[in-house]
Formats: sequence, structure tokens, C-alpha cells
Amino acid sequence: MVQDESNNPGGGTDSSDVVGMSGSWAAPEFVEPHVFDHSAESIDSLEWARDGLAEAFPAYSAKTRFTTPQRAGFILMALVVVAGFAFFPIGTGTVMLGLSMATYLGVVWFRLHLVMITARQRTSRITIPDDEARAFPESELPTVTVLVPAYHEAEVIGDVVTGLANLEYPQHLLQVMLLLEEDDIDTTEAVGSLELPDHIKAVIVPAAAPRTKPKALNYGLLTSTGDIVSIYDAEDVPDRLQLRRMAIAFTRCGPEVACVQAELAYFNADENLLTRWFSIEYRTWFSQFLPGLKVTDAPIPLGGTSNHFRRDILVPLGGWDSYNVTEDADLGIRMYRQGYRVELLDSITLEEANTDVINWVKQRSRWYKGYLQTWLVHLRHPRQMYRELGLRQFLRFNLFVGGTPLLAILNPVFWFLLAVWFLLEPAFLRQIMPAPLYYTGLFLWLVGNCLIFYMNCITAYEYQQRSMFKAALLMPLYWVLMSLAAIKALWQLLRDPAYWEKTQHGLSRVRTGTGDGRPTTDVPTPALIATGVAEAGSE
Amino acid sequence: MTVVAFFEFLAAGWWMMYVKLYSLGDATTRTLNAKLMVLSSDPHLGAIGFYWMPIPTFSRIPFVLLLEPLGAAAFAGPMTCAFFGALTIPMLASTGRVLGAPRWLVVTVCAVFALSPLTIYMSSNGMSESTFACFIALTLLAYARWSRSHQVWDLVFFGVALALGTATRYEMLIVAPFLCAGVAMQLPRARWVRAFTLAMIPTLLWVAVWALASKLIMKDWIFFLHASSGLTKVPEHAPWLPENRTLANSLKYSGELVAVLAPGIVFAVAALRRTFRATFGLLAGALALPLVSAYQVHTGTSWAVPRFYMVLSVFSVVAVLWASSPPTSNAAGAPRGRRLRPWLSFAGVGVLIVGVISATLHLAVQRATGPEGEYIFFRYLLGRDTVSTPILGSPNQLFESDLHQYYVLRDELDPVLAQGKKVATDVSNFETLVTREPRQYVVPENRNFELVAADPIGRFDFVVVVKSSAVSFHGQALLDAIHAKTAVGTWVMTRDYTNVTLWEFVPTGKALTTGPDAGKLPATTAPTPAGTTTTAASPTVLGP
Repeated sequence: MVQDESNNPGGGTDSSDVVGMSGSWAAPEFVEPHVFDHSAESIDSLEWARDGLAEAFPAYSAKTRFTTPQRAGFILMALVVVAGFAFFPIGTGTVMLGLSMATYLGVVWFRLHLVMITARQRTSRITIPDDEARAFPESELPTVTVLVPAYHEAEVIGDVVTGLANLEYPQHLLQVMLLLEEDDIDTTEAVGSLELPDHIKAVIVPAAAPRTKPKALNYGLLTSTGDIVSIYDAEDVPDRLQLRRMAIAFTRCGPEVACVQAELAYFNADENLLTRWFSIEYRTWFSQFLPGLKVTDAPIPLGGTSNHFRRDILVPLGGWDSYNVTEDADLGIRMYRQGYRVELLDSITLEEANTDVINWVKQRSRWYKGYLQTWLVHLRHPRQMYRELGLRQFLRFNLFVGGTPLLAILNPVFWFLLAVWFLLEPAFLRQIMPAPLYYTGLFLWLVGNCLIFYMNCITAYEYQQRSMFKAALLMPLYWVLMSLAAIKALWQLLRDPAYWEKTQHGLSRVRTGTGDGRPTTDVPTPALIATGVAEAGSE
Repeated sequence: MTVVAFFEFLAAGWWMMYVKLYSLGDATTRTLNAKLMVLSSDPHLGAIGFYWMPIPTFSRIPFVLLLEPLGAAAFAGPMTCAFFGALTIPMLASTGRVLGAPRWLVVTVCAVFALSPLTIYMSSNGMSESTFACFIALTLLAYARWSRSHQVWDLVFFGVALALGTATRYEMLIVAPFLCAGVAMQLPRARWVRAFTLAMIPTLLWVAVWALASKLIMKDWIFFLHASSGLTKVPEHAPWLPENRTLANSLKYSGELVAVLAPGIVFAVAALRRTFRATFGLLAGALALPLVSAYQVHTGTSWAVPRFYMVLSVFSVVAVLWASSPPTSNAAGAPRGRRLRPWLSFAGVGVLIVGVISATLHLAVQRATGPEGEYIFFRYLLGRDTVSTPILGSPNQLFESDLHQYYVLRDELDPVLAQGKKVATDVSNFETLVTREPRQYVVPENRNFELVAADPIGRFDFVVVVKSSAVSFHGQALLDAIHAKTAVGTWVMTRDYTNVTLWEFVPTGKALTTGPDAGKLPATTAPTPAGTTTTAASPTVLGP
């Protein structure tokens, strides 16, 4: 599995260069769960975990919120807009609306395009049947390190340990690292009370800003020994054969494939209206948008978990950006820019869907903020990015990574304008919307919303479950929540960009004790998820 | 075959429009709407009218833009029809392939369809039937694919095709629930409602979008309904309809037309035993149209002209393919069914050919009772004389068949319009369609029309008023404007055409620029109560 340097198509930096920025670094010792200890020698590792990327590749790190040219550009734009509204309010309003509509059109069109591609081409994911996965010779399997960052996850850490222990992968080739934060006493104690198998270890990450998941992942990455580094969240229930499938997938791919991304779904999808909406959206994302991106060879923003990296590529790239709150999406784009590719794996990891609205808004606002961060980071040098990606992929990157939060931000603007026009028909709206703009905007807004609504209905239909379909029919209410989260994200991007809105897990009534990808619950399980897991071959 | 058919339809359209000077009023209006949307003094979506469903009008915009520089924008209607008519053929062929019908049968039924005078008429008259037929064919293709695959994307394809059909003609709303039921019933009962809903959603969303757009632009959620209630009132004496419109007579009228125009539908019955639910949905969808039409005849809410039934010929072709195909595209079926199928195929082709002949004769012979459009075409086709029948009870007897007058009017007006003069006109003045100076027109579709009509001084120099009360919505507004005019000039009716009259505003002391007296001062003047002076003819005779 180890790739020769000459096979590095992106010419990624050698790992020694990255490490060399701090001269040397001390790997943290594995600690026994009941003897948590972190010593002064771990500081260098912490430095790398925190600022490794920012120092080696500052242009790729969100440590700097806005570069000077970006800041100047935004200020200039703001001035132009303010001056425009002061002196030419009608013309400025028209231009602003026109730009918004063009953005809206682009994003909606691109999503429809992805769905159409997925509908036509259904082979964009690598599928490994159960028997093939089990029959693969052990001698050809790579060593794997599984990183599980856990912060305030005392409620669920037991489940994930059970789930990981049940993974069908030779233990001597597997290294599981639970990344615990120094000040998280509850989780630490919870882990301490568990009897961990030999291949599962706990690592204490020193408490230091930024308090983000990527920093913990970087910390774990330095001590990892596997050829492959896999990421799971603390509440994850991966398909038992996922690591074997992933290993086989890598053998089928070319040297340019740096990551294999498994599909994510929720074990409590049918718990309440919010989880149903969330599940439908997630399913749309993973079963329609990402395969479409894959087919078009567009940059794929990775999901936060169940992604499996080649360590020999990940380390030279500088690991994760500890200042980016969607470090996964950012890494996907960064890999793409270096010439690496992502493959999608037909294997499901079940997660816990947010059951609480406030908790959901927090999580979603972090995602949107992260997408905005990623967008801004990669557009620091747009001409360079354009040269690296070419026109098509450059546009696709903007439409998908930038478009996702922008769509959620623009939607309420258009709803508001429509409501105002409908109720009051103010003269200024008529003035700022000349006929072509008005009709185009009206058409796009109506058709765009209908298309997105229908995409969700299609996804819900695939669940083969009545409650999911009913939820899909109410999906526009979910869009309101999305817009609230997007506005919050925008505000937070300006105020506190690296702040990690912690998503509280363990709120679900559905428990996942078996660790085989099937919940143990009295809440009905979505047929699709159950089927998906069964098809993925956990049993 | 598609390309050949396109040129066949195009030639028929050319022959009707430029040799026989024949064009249906609604067809011309749709093309006019398309032109006003993009090439008027105030291009905007509202010019589409919100009366008919928009696809037939939208889809002719590219053709209008293509033909306008040649001065032939009016031909965009027949060209659009030919395009969709030709496109129907590969859809039918694909349906045959999906169903696993023998190749010879697919080719034969497509050829019969392409050569049928019904298809030629639909695909060359500038109306919306060929577009509708095309989307019905697309819907049935999706229906066949779904029946074979049960893949969700085929269901989505079906739903979208239905919505496109609905965006073409309102009648699809009648067909949609039946076809959707046919789609749903092919699944286990527990999934019926979801499949039905998923298939119907695009159609329902379209209706909602259309209603909302109608409300925002026309200030009326169901503008089409209110507009049509005033426009499509079926005359008491419609000679092609049964004299006594009881339900039984209305059903008989519809039934006869189905039997004559689309006898192949009966072939679906042959497949009922094999695939009952799917075939039932197909049959129900096909028969829903004539059944509802019969009800409308009974209640006096539809003209129910034979043209409305012509799209059933698509169902007819698909029914023959359906009945002659194995239950699945790669299955041979039961031995008995296998032996029967070739005979069904031959019989199906025979019935389709008989249908072509019966339809042609039926529509051509009803000289005294046939609706003008269909009657004229099929009489022409058989080389017979035609006599226009005044069916509208309007002074405009040749309303549907005479474009010539508008070319004459254009030749008179365009030179003065090129000098910057403006003309205000009525909604159904087709001169707007043939003129090369569309930006000089103030038409009711302009958003400032009411303002201009209320205060006409200096805003327009000519008025063209449609005579027919049935199609003149704004003539009175224009005449009122003329009455309200202060005495700074004179309004003179300079020409009286078959359908319209041309009025010119002549400032005091100036000479006329149009009409036989061009270059002379107005002959006589007569003061009006509002102080306006008019000459030659009293404008009141032009009112509804």
C-alpha cells in the first residue's frame, strides 16, 4: 500500500519537510486508559497538530480568516455597495438582485445536473460483496489506524468501542486510537471504566486552542502507524466489513486515489420529524450529489467521518487544518488540488441524527461556517486555483462548496422579497426589478425550489417508508432551519471563525449496542438503512 | 424517419399558410404572444397571456427569433408544430423498443403515424396538439419503462413528462391521475400512495407555480379559468355537436370520434389479461380524455372539436405496441401468447391504417357541420372545394383563414412606423405578428397599455381595432381614448379591412399619411361630446 514518491501525481511535500518545520517532534506515548498522562515532551506534537499546516502551507490554512487582499476586496465591495445604494439605489439594487439570481441559478442548475448524472450512471461507487470482502487474503491487507476523536462523548463512547471491536479486520493489523481531550474528565473516566482490547488505545490530547476535532486528528495522525488512516466519530456504527471493503477498494484504484469515502446514514433516521428531514438530506447528499461529483471528476468535499486515507499522502499534505471547522471538506479540496482523487465506497456507517432543533442548528451552522472558510481559503489565489483545476472544476468547486451555504443564505432573501411583493407591492421593488430580472428571478425561484423539493421526495421515496415520504412533503420547513443556521454561520464566521460548535450526541432514544450497524431499539428502523447495511454485508 | 417527417410537416404547414392562406386564430395568437414576449416595445413574460398553458408559446420563441429577420415570424407556429410532431416519432419507436416489440412493427406503426393526415394536420396547424402529443408519447415511454424496470428514476421521468404535458395543455390534468394510478398499482399495495404521489408531484408543483405566477402577474390565481369562461362559451348552435346535448348523446359523440380517430386503443384490451394493472392504467388514461370531453359537451363547457381528440392517436399506436409485445422486453411469454402476438401485430397495423382512412374521410365529408379548421384542411387534402362556415356568429367570417389582409396592412403601415410613428392596437390584431416594426406597437400586453389608452396624446399615431366582438377585448378602451382626446386633431378611419379597421390621428392642418386619401387633408369633421373630432365613420360602430 505504500506508494512510491514517483507516483505522487500532485508532487505533495515529503513528510520529512512537514515534520522538519519544527526541527523534531516527539510522538506521544500510548497511555493505558487508567493511567492518563501527558508530559511536556508532547508539546512539539501539539504544535504540529495545531499549526503544522498553517506553518508549512499558510495559504491553505484558515488560521488567517481573511488575507489582506481579501479583506481589502471585501471592504472595497462594501464601500461600493453602500455608495451605490446612497447615490444609485435603484441601479445598485438591480445589480445586487441580478447577481443573487445568477448565483441561485448556477447552484440549483448544478445540483440538478449532479442528480441527472447520478440517475444516468449508477456505478460511481465501488461495491465489494460480502463474500469477496471476507475472502480477501489477510496477507494482502494493509495496516490500518482508526482515529476516533471524542469530546464530551461519555454517553456514547462505550457503544463506539463495542462497534469498533466488532469490525471484521485482523486485530494485529489494526490500531484504534480514541483521541480524548485533556479536560474532558467524563469521557476519560468512561473510557477508563471499559475493558479495551489490545488494539484499542486512548490518547490524551493536551488542552489548547483551537479546541477543534482536526487538531485532535493531527495529534493522533503523528502517532499512527497504519498504512491507512481511517476516521470515525464517537457515535459511529460502521458496517463491520467496511475496513476490508476499503482495503480492497484501494487495491483496485490507481495511485492517484488518496481517500476512500464510505456512505453515511443515520441509525435513528425515523425518530422524529427533524431526524427524518436530516436523513433525507444526508441521503440526497451521499447518494445523489457526491456520486455526481465523482462522475464529473469534480473536487469532493469529504464527509467528516468514515473516510479512509493513505497515510503516505495525508502526512505530506499537512494533515487536517485545525482552524477549519469542516476540515474534512477542506482536505478533500486540498487533495484534489494536489492531483489526488477520492473514491466512494458502497458501505454505510450509521451515525446519530440530531434529534434536537437547537443542537441541529449549532451543528449545521458549524458546517456552513466551515464551507465558507474552505471557500475563502481556496479562493485566496483564484488564478492559481483556476490553473490547477481548469475552468469546469473551478466552477464546480464554487457552485458546490460556495453554493451550499450561499443557497441557504439567499433563500430567505427571496422568500422575504416574494412575501413583501405579494402583500404590499411596494414601488421600489418594481423599480429594482426590471422585467427580464423579475421574470427570470420569479421563474428561477419557483422552479429552483420545486426541483430541490422534488429531489428530496425522490430520496424519501427510496426509503420505502411512509413516514419518511410524509416528512419529505414538509421539507420546506426544514429549509427555514437551514437558512437560520446559514445566517448564524455567516455571523460566526466574522466573529469567531475557529469556534467549534459542539454537537451533543447521545440524545437519541435509539441505542446502538450491537456494533454491527444495526440499532437495538424499539424505534422503527428505516428500511433503507437496514437494507443498506444488510446489502453492505455486515451479517 | 424523424427528419423526413419534420420536412413533411413543414411542407404541409407552408402549403396551408402561404398557399391556402389558412391559419387558425388561436395558433396565430400563440405565435403573436411569443413574438410580443421577446420583440415588442415592452418584452416581458406577461405577454404570454396566462390563458393557455405556456409550453406551446414558449417553445416557438426560438423559431420566432429565427424567422423574424426573414419577415416570416408567423410561420414559427407551424414550424414548432412540425418540430414536436417529428419528435413524437422517436418517442414512439423508443416505447416499442422498451416493450420489446418486433422491429418491423415499430417501424411500420411509426410510418403509419407519420403519414397519417391526422398527424400531418396536428403537426402543421400551429396549434398545441402536436406538442401535447409529443409529451403524451414521452409520458407513455416513461410509463413503459417503469412497467418494465420499476426503477425510481423511471418513475421520476414519468412524473416530469406528465408535468411537461400539463404545462402544454390543461387536459393532461385529466389524464394524469389515471396514468399515475396505473403506475402505482403495479407495485405492492403498501407502496401505492407513495408511488402515486411521487409521480403526481411534478404536475401538482407545476400547477402551483402556474397559479402563483398567474397571481403575481395577472393578479388572479386562476386567470385562465376566468378568461376562458368569457371566451369559450359554447354557442347554442354548434353544428358539429349533437343538437340535443344529453349525456347519452354527448357520450355517443365522443365515442364516435374515438372510434374514428383512434381505433387502435381497443388493442390495449388484448394485453389486459397479461398485465392487467399496467394496461388498465393505460386504457383509463386514454379514455379519460373523451369521457371528460363528453361531460363537457353535456354541460356546454367545451367546444369539443375533433382536433381535441386527435392526440388519442398516440395512445392508439402505443396500445398496438403494448398488445403485441411480450410481458417483459426479454421474455418470450406463454406459448399461446407467443403464437398470438404476430397476429395481433398484423391486426394492429391494419386497424391503425383503417383508422387513418376513417378519420380522413370522416373529417372531410362533414361539409355542413364540421368545425372550420379541421373541415377546411381535410377538404383541401382531398382536393375538394371549401366554403367557410360562419360558426362564430361574428361579422368576421374568415377570422380563422385569412392572414392576407394583415400583410396588406403591414405594407401600408410599416413605412410610416419606420419613421418613428406609433400604433396602438387590439390583442388579436395579427398585423403585430407580421410587421417588421414590432417595437412601434402599443399592445394590450404592454404593461403601460392602460395608461397610454387613457391618455393617448402624443403616445400613438394610429389605432388598429379588431371588429369581432368575440376577440376584441380592448377595442372599447381605444375608442374611449379617442373620445377623450382634446381637440388638437382629428381621428380618421383610413382603411376598412376584413377583420380590422385602421385609424389615423391627424393633427389640425396636417394631411393623412395612410389610406386612399393619403396626402390630403381630412375631408369632413364632426365634433364629439368629449371635444374630439372624428371623420369618415363613427367609432361607435366599432364597439362590441
